[in-house]
Amino acid sequence: MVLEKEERARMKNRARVLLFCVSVLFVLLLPIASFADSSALILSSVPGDEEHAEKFTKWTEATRKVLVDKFGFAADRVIVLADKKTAKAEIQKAFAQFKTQLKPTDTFFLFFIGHGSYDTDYKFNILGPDFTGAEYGQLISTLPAGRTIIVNGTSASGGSVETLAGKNRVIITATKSGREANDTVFYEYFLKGLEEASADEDKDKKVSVWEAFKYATEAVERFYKEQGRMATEHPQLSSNGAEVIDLKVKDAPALARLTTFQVDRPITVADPALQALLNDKNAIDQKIEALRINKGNMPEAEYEKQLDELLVQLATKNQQIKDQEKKKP
Amino acid sequence: MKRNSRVFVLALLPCLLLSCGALWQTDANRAIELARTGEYKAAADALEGAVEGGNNDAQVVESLYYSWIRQGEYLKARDKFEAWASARPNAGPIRLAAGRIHRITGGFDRAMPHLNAIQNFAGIATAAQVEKARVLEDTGKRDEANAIYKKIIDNYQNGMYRSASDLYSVALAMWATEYFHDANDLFKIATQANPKNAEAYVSWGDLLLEKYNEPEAIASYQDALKIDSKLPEANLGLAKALALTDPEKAGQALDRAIAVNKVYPEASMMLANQLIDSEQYDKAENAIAEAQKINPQSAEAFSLLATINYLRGNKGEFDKYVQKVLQTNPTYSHLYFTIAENCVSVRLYKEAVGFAREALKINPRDWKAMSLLGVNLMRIGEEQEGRNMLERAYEGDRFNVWTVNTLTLLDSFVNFERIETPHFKVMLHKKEAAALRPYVTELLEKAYKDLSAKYAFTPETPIGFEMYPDHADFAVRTLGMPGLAALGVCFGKTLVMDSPSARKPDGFNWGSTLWHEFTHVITLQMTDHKIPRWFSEGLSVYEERKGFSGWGDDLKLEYLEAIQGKKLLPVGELNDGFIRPKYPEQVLVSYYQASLIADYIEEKNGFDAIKKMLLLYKAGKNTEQVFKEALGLDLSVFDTQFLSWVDARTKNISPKSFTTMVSEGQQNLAKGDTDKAIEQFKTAIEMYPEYTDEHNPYEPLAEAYLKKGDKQAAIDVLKKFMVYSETSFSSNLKLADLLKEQGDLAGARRWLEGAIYIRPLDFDGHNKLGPILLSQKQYPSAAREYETLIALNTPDKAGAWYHLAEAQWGSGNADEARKSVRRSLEIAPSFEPAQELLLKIVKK
Repeated sequence: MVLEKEERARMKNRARVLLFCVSVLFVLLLPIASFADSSALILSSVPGDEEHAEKFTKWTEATRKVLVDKFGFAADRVIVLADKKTAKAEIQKAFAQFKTQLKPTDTFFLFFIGHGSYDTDYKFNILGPDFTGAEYGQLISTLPAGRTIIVNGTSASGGSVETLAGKNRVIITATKSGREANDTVFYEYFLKGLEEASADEDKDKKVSVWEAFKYATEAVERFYKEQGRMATEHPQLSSNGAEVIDLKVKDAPALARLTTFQVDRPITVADPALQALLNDKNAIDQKIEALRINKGNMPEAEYEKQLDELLVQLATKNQQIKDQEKKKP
Repeated sequence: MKRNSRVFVLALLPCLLLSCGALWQTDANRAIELARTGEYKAAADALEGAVEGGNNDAQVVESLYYSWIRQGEYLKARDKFEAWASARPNAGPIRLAAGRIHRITGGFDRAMPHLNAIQNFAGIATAAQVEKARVLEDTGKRDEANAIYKKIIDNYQNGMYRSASDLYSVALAMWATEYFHDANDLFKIATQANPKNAEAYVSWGDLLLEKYNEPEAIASYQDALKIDSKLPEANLGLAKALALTDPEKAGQALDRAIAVNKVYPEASMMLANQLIDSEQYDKAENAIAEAQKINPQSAEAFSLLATINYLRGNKGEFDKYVQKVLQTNPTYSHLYFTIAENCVSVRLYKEAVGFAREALKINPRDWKAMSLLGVNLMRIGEEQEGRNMLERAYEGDRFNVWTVNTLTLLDSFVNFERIETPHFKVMLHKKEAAALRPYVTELLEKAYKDLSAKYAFTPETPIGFEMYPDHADFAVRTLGMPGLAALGVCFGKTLVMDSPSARKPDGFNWGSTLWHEFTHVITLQMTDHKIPRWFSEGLSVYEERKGFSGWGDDLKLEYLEAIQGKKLLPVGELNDGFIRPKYPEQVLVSYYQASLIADYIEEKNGFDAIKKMLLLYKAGKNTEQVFKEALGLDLSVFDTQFLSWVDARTKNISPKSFTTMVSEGQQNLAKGDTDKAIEQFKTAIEMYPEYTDEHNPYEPLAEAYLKKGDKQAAIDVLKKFMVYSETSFSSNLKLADLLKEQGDLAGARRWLEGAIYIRPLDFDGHNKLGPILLSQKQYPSAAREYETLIALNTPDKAGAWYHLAEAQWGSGNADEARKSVRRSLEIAPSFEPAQELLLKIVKK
């Protein structure tokens, strides 16, 4: 389901179609079968002082809350290791638990909150000896999850990309390198993007990994601009092992765009008429997506005309779906 | 008797020289060192005897010369050197000193024979040549002077000069012949060759200052002061270099110069310039008279007298002084430059342009005047001619920092968007134009409408308005160089100000700044720019307060301290507070005082009295006459009444008790004793309601009421806070939220608009204001909010486009609404409200 890096550029659209098709198949053929689930490990570093302790605790707890309460993570699939629990043994134990829990269709989210540092490799500051980026990479490799999303909001987090990036992984970091070692504000805004609807740019009621990254990155830029301070953090993202990118990239990477924080849930539709309408709607959705991708290759007026027609069709279809839903007993 | 004595001395001299030679030389060296380190009196006492006794050594004579003139002993120096030169015609250094002292005291005819006699005198020839060329320049013989300078430069190029003093003379020659870069290099070489040459550092500083390179000029003067900490020329240079950016330090440097040389003509002239700036012409004339006691022929003094008479409207006297200057030196274009520069100081920009043109008629190579012309053409809105002039000035003098900075800024104008409104030509930086344009243009037109009506005066249009996101660019546009502390400047028909992004958030209120500057347009144009600075600034702050709740300075702690410390100035001297502040806060205190004067006049005599005053200024009356005719009061009586009114307003405020009450209130609030905290904050507000800066009692009081669930009380407190505070963005939003909760959408809207005058580039204000305007069916205003959010790259672009479409649809603009809703659905195809709106539009 996830495209290879080299195919991504020319097959963006197909990726979405494929995702849609697979999800429809699950819905139609296996309504009671197992579905893709999500798990998360939230690591909060040793804070160092009271001010940081308060901040990291707030971020950690808010992250857990938003995953469970808003995005539908099962409570037992979210492990939080904070303060003194953030030690090598506890982390290894957590990974061992996920190893038994995760399936190849699942997505695993790993959050790093707090202090990081960089020497020859990234280190996340825990109680006792730190794990290096390479060691976290090895731990992640033991998991059977289909996708791994790493959100590293610490100082020097850019230094973790080299060892954590890989196939079927998205890594988001607060800084562009290990040398950006000051305290970061990135995670504050990343979390805000998850908590509030404002990060949901396409209003599909889901927050994709790309949307959250984009929201937080723009907010960080604004923060430094408004404060009149030189930016000491430059968020970046690496998807599927590709080189790191920032918001200047023309096309958002498919894996980051198609992976959302919401846990997939099966939708069963018993009404064939409604199902037909949903199928029609999805077909229009695909046409709109194809048109948007092709925007740069056609005259503006033609694009606007076609877009208008498709949007009217989509709106009309949605109206019909709502009408049909009202007819349900 | 006289003859005999001389013979006796002459007879003994060889013996004295033989027996005491070593000791004598040591004493002279010690005296020279004293002269070089600011001990002028001791040096002069020691050296006078030596020279009197026949010592003609160049260093000894020069040290005596400088020791005298630096103590202000000009006339003694002139008489002594003249007498010695007559007695010893072959003593080259004595004749050089005589030539110099005659030149700086205006005796050009008497200087020339001395200087002519020593043009080839070993060791001092180059200095004598420069001195002669200067006399020729002073008397209008520029070509002859240039021939001498050229010869000096040729000799230098042929390797004839090696000594540090010669190199210094070459630097002066290069400067005089417009080889500015080379002169700069030569000063460097000359000071390296003789690091103790304080005069060379001063001249180097003067060159840099002439080119408006103030930071480097300051460094050069400071180098001179490291050698001689009392050097009056260096302190004067420092005073001039700091005058615009740090007037307080400039005043201190000027005081130091005058403390050493009480009759220093150049210092008197600087003082006269400052007095002209503060429109105290009688005092300026007195200062000039002091300078003329030393040099009755000073062209600079006559130029300043011409300036004063021009500003007073005395045409006959003006012509007389112009003639006096030009009779002596017909090429002295600095006459008109001086008048033009002083016109700029009193905001007569058009007149400055006229005088700069006159300067160029006399000397088309006066690059400084050409630069001044270019800059002031820009200020009066003649952008193209201004640029042309600046480019020509740059071709002639690439060393002038003002010219270079302004041209660099002009090059950056391609990054600005130009917008025309009914009365303004607006220039906003492209990176923020989309977000600022609707607010800026709306507020400008509102200011035009409201204030034109209030003052019954229609200003000349179009009025230029420029907003700079980089404060350094704003400073270059206004002063030619970075370092200006102001937020905005008005040139009468052009307004220039910082944009909100040039400052830290909540650092200033751009709305009140714009309103302030536009008020200057009215008061300057209405009086033909004859309004004194203090009154113009006072009315601008006064109008700020009336423009929007909270705008304009209120009684800050430092103002209160100034009032209670009896530091307010009489009206007749109030301009000094702006131009020559004596303490760090005096400029701001003077703005505040001037605004209180406007408040007071309005309260006692009504606003019509203010209008009458403006018309009297236009008629050319001075402040004393204006107060007499408009208010029926002598200035001294007005001062007494005004100060008593101010005292009555502030007598019950005790800063110490206030601070204690607020601190204790905060402690009690933190401890949970909310009721006690409330009482303390309330008492503090009652005592000192205008205090809204850090640790004010309003914000914690509102918080305390909210803690107790009393939202109405919190609203009342925040409303009162907003009467005085113009930069509290968060309190504006909080008040708006509370009012919205109570269903008072109009109230919420008012405070959200207030918030946007503080932070127009922040999403929060627009995000909250947009829905209120839509719900009130204020569609054009709502559209403005969403257009701004889109321009600011809001994260919720689909939402902003949808709401913009709603506003356009509400305004009956279906086509635009359809385009906007398409943009929304392009980002978020499943966005149901947008889909519904699209269908509504399609069905229509």
